[in-house]
Amino acid sequence: MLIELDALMIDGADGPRPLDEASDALARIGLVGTAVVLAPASLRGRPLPQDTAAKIDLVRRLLGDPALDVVEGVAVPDGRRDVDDATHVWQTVVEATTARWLVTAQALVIAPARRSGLRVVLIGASGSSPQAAIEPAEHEARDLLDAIGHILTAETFAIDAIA
Amino acid sequence: MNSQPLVLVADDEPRITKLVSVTLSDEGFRVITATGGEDALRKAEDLRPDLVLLDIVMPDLDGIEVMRQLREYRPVPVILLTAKGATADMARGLDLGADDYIAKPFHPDELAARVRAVMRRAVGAAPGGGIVHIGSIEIDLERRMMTRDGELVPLSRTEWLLLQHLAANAGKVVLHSELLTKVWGPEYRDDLQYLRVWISRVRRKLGAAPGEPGPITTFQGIGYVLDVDGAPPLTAPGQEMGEEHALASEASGATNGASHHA
Repeated sequence: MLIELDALMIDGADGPRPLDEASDALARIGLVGTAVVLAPASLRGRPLPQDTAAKIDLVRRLLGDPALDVVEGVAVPDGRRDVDDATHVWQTVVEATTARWLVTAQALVIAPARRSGLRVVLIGASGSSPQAAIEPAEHEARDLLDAIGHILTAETFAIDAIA
Repeated sequence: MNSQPLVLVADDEPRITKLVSVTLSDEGFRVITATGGEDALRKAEDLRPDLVLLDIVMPDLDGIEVMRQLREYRPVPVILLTAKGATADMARGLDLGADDYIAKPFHPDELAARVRAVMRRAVGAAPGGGIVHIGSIEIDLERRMMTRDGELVPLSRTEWLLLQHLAANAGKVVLHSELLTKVWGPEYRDDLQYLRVWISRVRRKLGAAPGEPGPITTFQGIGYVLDVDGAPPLTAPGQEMGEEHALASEASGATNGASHHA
């Protein structure tokens, strides 16, 4: 299960901090698979280290889990060509992680992620994005735990549910 | 004693019991799991859960039969887990006394909300602890059971809820509308006929002869009083002897209808 770092964070007085429910959400994902956090180039307007190892280390420290699976995130597309490019990158991530789901708070990610074979849960509404309206997410969730709930439901009751 | 409510969930599919366990544990419930109907009955008897979630379709004993057997010795709240679209199973389960049902697949939030709602109703229906004595009859409000001469008297959930409210207010008049609201819900507060039929059943369980009120005195147009040991007797003007006779013919026909609201 891929989950974008941004979906786990909230703006605090001293900068972004994890949502109170972030650790619970990651633990619940463990019921049906492995959580893999996608680390972006920047978080809430603040650049993260360019060095991958340093970035992964920072994300693990932010979320308080030194064993957390973290991989490089995929840039958000802003045009038709970018969507095609992003789809290729998403496919690489999917192959590397064998993930089936993506949790994101960014509607513009839905199209390339779905084209790479992921099922997407969008936190928040996609209505403001015409592009997202063309390729709706499998589920729209009101918050992080609701998003994880949709995945748990789908995987628990799926005939071919993963082990 | 642990104050967190204990929930027993029975389903032959481990992924579902796991999802339920995690969801309800996060909500502050203690959860035990059973892999089938027989296992559920054993664990319910040993551990006395506050609420039971039963899958209807289980290989050894179906959830509705498990519910029926559970209710023979204890009126525990039951939520049935049904397959999506299994309307007949769901309706049969509710008719036979289930407190609610949840259709699969369900979101964890829905599960938690329904369990909380049933627990609220169950707690609201439980007026408190204590033991009430009526001759050789003992009504244990804490353990939710009634014995006569030391022998357990099987009660349906509806019978128990009525008796519980009367016993918790022993010696006082309990209004018709109050009993109807507590046992069936506010939308049934005027359905006096249900109440009459079920009061008649409770009287039988308390040992009253057919047509006799036994320890439950009727106050016509007002309500009922459970007369218990140590309480001053109340005299009801125009106390009926004939209500049961009048109901005798109605009861057999009305029972099936009333069971919808059990």
